Amino acid sequence: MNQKPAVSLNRDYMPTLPAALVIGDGQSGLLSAKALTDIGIAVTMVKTRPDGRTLHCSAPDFDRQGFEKSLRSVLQEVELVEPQGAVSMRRMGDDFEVRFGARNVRTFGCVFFTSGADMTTVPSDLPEGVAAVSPDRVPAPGTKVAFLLDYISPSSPAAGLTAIRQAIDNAASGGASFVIMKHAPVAHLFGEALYEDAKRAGVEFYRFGETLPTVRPRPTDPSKDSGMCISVVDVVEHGDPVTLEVDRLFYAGAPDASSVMPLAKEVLVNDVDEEGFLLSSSVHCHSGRSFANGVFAVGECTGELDLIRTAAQAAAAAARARSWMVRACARKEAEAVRFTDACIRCMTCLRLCPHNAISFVAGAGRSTVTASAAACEECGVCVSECPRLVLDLVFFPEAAIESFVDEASRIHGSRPVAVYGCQRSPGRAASRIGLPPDVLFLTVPCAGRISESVLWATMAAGVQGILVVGCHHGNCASNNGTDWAEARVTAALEKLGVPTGMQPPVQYASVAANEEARFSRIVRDFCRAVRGETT
Amino acid sequence: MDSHAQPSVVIVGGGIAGLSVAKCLSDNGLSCTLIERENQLGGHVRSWACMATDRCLRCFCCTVEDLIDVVESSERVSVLTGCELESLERPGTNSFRVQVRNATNGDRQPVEAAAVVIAAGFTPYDPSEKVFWGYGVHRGVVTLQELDTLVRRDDLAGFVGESDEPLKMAFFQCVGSRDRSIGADYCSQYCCKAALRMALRLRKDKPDWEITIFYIDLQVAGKFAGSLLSLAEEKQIRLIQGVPGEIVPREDGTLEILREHKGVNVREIYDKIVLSVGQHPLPDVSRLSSLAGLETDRFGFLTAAGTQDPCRTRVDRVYVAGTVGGPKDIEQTVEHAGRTAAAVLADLNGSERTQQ
Repeated sequence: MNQKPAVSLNRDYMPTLPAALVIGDGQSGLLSAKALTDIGIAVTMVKTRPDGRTLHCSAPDFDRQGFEKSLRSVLQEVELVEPQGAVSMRRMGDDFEVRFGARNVRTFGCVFFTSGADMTTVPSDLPEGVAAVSPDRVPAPGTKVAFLLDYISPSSPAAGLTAIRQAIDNAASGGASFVIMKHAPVAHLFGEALYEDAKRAGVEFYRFGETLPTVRPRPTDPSKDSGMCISVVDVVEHGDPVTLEVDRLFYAGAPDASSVMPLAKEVLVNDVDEEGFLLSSSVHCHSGRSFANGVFAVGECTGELDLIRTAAQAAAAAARARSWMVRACARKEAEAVRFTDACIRCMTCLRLCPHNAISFVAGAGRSTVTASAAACEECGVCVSECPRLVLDLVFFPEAAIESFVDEASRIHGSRPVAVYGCQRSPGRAASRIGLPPDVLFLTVPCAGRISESVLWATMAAGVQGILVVGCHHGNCASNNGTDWAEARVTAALEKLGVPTGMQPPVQYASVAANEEARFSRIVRDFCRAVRGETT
Repeated sequence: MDSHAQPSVVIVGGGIAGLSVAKCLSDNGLSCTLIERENQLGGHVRSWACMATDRCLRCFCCTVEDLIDVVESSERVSVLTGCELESLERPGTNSFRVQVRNATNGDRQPVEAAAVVIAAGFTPYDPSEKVFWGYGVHRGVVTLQELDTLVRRDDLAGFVGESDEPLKMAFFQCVGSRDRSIGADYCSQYCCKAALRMALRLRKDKPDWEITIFYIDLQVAGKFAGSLLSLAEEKQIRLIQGVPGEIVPREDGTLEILREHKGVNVREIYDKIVLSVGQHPLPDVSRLSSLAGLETDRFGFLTAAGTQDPCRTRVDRVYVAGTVGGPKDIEQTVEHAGRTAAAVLADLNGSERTQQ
């Protein structure tokens, strides 16, 4: 009865954690709110759209009614806000200042964007009357229905599985079901079984390969209100086209990135993927985490996801959000970036910081610029891009680079090669291999710290060549530090004007932490090339 | 060091799932004990290669290096490598006594725990039981994992030779997956994307190789997956529906396969064939499940509480994370591990609230 708690969560490590803001009251928003309140974080939720869509889930043991009931119960634990006017937000120190309309300004420790994307509208070259597959839209029992997957572009597998589930249910109710697809969606532990069940239930599958099926409305029949004729060639049967006549055709689409909430795209401006969904396609952005520390995204606004994956993403994001706020409390007094008085508040740092660490406070007299020590990851992009050179990193100050350059000039008689590599990838690779003795290697927090002026200073020290090594494009832990490094090398070379055919004395390369052999080869080849040795 | 005096969360398995749970819990202020059977952390992922071409292809392998660094330098995580879980007792409702045994010297060490997370991982399917693949017999047939390890060691030449002659290489998908005859009628979920990445990675250095992927149904869901498919088309990776049924060796060491094309059998010759083998349950999963009082599903993966709660189990305070509960790619594994950590946090937080 009086047993001591096995592990103490809050008091030992934490004062009180700030509240989280969840933007969106759809299922992804409710899942996020539940995950956050479960681990002891207070939640304020912003209503965005009352007609929140239902997430796909076709698992055999899934109890949709029970699930929806438990989601609704979350609403009793959160504060619900219906904004009067536009919502806007900005970082204020470690926290976020959020405006709901003109008057209502609140502060939160983290922000979750969950306002989901709409499913793609049915392609315009399909006839009218074709409906999108949805867990809420079940075909009338006992009818003849077809489900069209992968038409023009791949379907969301979640929608595909819902289609198969509904095809089985429709066949069981005495109807006839057809699934027309390019690839059977089976990527779930239960996916294959569902597909086998469908075949046993008499659902007919057609794989159309490269030849798209054609769809036209069924010739008018006064006894039936609508209907479609689908002509399809099956690549497995490879026979003549088969024409299927059905009462109803359902189209399985995919989420549409153009409907992602504009505020989210504004806040995560450098953090969207190729298709326009939230969270860039970097390995550092998963489980709802964005590069902007403290800002998370959950659900279909991040791309195709079913209910199971959304719930996992929400829970993982909540745990990460909690650890972010723990870190923010622990680093309240810490300093990561130092600003001198010569700062002219041009806001270049605020604009370029990949981690959304900089805040700008307009004061009555002098406005101030600060960096949150919790959000800062010390990549140094702000330091090297500051037009007035008034910033410095606390843990990797300019002096560290200066003493490295000094060392290079001291031994310049031996014409060393200088290698700058970030700690994450080349730094780790270098720890497993030995570099040649005439190579001077400096581990920097991120390749993005190496500014053009560092390159010129290093060249002036009399080195034979400079190699700047970062993570692979799209792999940088600070989003684009590696792209900055490459751009500066290119800019320096343009100014140097190296004739074609000559080995440039400055070169950029990228490696991963697990490519030590490749890193060693890149360094060796560069040394040989700048020394004019043949391989 | 008296790190075992305070109860902690015991995590069984130091692969990407266990590491992710350890990082997440320690970041949230909990102490953890990570038990790994091998002598180093990182699991399968540590022996796999970076798949970047002119950009990162989101294979996630490098992230294990980040996690190992964080976990090894964390004050809150005590790492026991070369160790196995020997027994699991429950003296109180909210406490466990875990006996850890060092596999080399047999030393035993008790650890007090408030929760136990099983993150023991999977085993890659061994295709030698299906003699028609000729795996282990024909020198030109390897598994995708083996090829990954070769690329990781920068030793592709050891497999394909030093010759500059363009090679013909084929990937066979769904080997040991979607196969009822071996009780593995499930999709392993990572292999389509992994084969596409490997094909693109090889294409970077070998522009003149002919690379073919034979598949049943391509499963390319997730972020960047669509780009993988369009890159493959752009880089002339042949994608062919239907996996050939047999590999026949020829006298010159090449491999012959038969595939159906528009109702006709076509003979094709390849130099090397890569079997994209599926994820299977660990061989000793039943030992783990009986130690922890859990059950396995019909495939042999540890059973979680259900679709709505895939990290908790039927035993209170015992959790699963990662592929021990079913096949996943690295991204899904990390996400699942994050959800497990959240469940641990929620339950321990809940008990704290009750105490108050």
